[in-house]
Amino acid sequence: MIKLQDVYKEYTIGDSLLEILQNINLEIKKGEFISIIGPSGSGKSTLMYMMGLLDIPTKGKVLMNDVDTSKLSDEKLSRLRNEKIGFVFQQFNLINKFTVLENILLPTLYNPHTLDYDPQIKAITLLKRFGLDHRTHSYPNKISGGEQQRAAIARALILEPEIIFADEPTGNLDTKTGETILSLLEDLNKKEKITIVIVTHEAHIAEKTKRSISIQDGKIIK
Amino acid sequence: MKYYIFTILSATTNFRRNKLRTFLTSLGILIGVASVVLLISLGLGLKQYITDQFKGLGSNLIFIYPGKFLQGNSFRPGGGMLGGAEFDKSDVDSLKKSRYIAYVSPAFIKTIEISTTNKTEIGDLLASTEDVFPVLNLKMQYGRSYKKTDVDKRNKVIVIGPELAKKLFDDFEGALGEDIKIEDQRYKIIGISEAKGGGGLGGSNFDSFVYMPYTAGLSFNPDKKFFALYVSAKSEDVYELAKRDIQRILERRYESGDFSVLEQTDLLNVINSVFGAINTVLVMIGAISLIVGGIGIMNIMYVSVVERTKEIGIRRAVGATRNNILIQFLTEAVLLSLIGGIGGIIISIVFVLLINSYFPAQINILSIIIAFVVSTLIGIIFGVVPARKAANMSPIEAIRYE
Repeated sequence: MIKLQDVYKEYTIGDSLLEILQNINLEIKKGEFISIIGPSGSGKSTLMYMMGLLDIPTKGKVLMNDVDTSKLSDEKLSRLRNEKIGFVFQQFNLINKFTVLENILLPTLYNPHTLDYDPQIKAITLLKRFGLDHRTHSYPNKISGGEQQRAAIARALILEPEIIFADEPTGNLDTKTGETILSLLEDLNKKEKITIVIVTHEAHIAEKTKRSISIQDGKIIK
Repeated sequence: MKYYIFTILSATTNFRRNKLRTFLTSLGILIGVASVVLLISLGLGLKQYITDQFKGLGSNLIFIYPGKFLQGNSFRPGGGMLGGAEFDKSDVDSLKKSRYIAYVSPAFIKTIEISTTNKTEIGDLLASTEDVFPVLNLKMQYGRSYKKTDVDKRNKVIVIGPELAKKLFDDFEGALGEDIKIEDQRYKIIGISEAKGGGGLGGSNFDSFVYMPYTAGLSFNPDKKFFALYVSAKSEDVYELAKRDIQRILERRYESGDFSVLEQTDLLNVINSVFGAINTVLVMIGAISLIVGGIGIMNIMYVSVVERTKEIGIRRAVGATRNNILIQFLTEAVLLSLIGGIGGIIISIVFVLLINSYFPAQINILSIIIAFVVSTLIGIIFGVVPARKAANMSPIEAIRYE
């Protein structure tokens, strides 16, 4: 579903050229449960954001469902992110001034289509499923990290995406809570056939995925 | 629809979280809008007040002032201050000889202190002849007006306006025949005029005037000179002839540039152009505070964009387009400005209602609509640059912002 062809990402800082990603060729198939592993600064997050259409390559192509995304307008890219992609971040990235429910519904505001389900009901179902029903009207900074991450996953799921990118999803959680978040993602892959891409620097997390891509100094090494 | 409602709710959430900041930011616009709306209201009110007063005057009136007020059809600024003719009784007598003229009322106007045994008030003295009553269309509510014999015999009698009478006496009828003191001279009240409302001849209210035979007030006016002559033509048909006669008669004595013969419409034009000029200046001063207020909004929107960089990144990640972000911040800027604008409108309405019994002010719907539109525009103009900054942020940098 996502294909990267000869992708480079470079920054110039002052006089020096910083090569974040070099010659990346990668394909992620529909329904895969995959991890991208590498040390910090290896370019794994940049790679994830590139696939998530939040960043654009300096050179090369990112294809989504065989469409070259480099030719798409901001509006079309935003639409793709909105409808096909879900993000889960290490910092949870919920907006603190909105309640948990409002955060989960946020993507639906930017969706111009009429959905064939009521997003409100869907959000409440997700909250129940993730054991957050007592947190519906709480503010994110008033609940635990594990709860925040589950709320963030619920937000990623609200528009029924094809793929979820999770950037160090357990990085800010204790081991036990991290385990539940991982098994939740695993569950989504298994039961709902949602493609899951986990970015991590921890080998034991990468081991849980069906396929693992190692990245170092901006290059895929395995 | 849901999106727009949420955008507005999201903006108000931000305002609630930063109440003091929101208040201070919109204060600039509030002061600007309040001052502009208030100044327009005061200007319009004053203009209306004076216009109404003119409508209450007798018909076929002609005003003669020293100096040259008009140049062609337009008002000559400072015209009345350039001196010129100094009218006296002989001008009144020669004008009265014209067969087109019914009445000639000379006017000497002065602000004076009036005292009864236990009260002192400030009022305006209009010293004239008995012709002042038909010319100004003044009727008596109680008592009588002064007559030619009062003028000739220099009787110390006066007629007072009802507003002044109310201030000085509790009982109007009881006021008749009372003696009052005007700057050490005693005068007997022989009449109280009917209420006319509106403003005097560019000055105070007719209803608080003291009308006195000019011969009885020579201590106030030892030179026996008059500030103006008010003339009433015999009929509408001879109005133009009367004007021409006045010009001819006065030119025997004065240079044609030393006096102005004006109709009510001329005078209204003069007043309009004076008020127009004053109002323009005042509104411009108000507009400057609006611009300053706008800069305040721009400043705070910049701060807000930087503070909420992460939020912008999150919104972009879940599917917000650049335009969505632009609209979000623009909505906030416009709402911020509108809060100030509406506050300013409310304050000026309250203020106008409060001062209405002392000063003629009118709230004008058009000025409210304009204030509304202007505050919206200020929000857009000063909000668009920070909003564009927010919209053009790279989503990836925004989301990584700590």
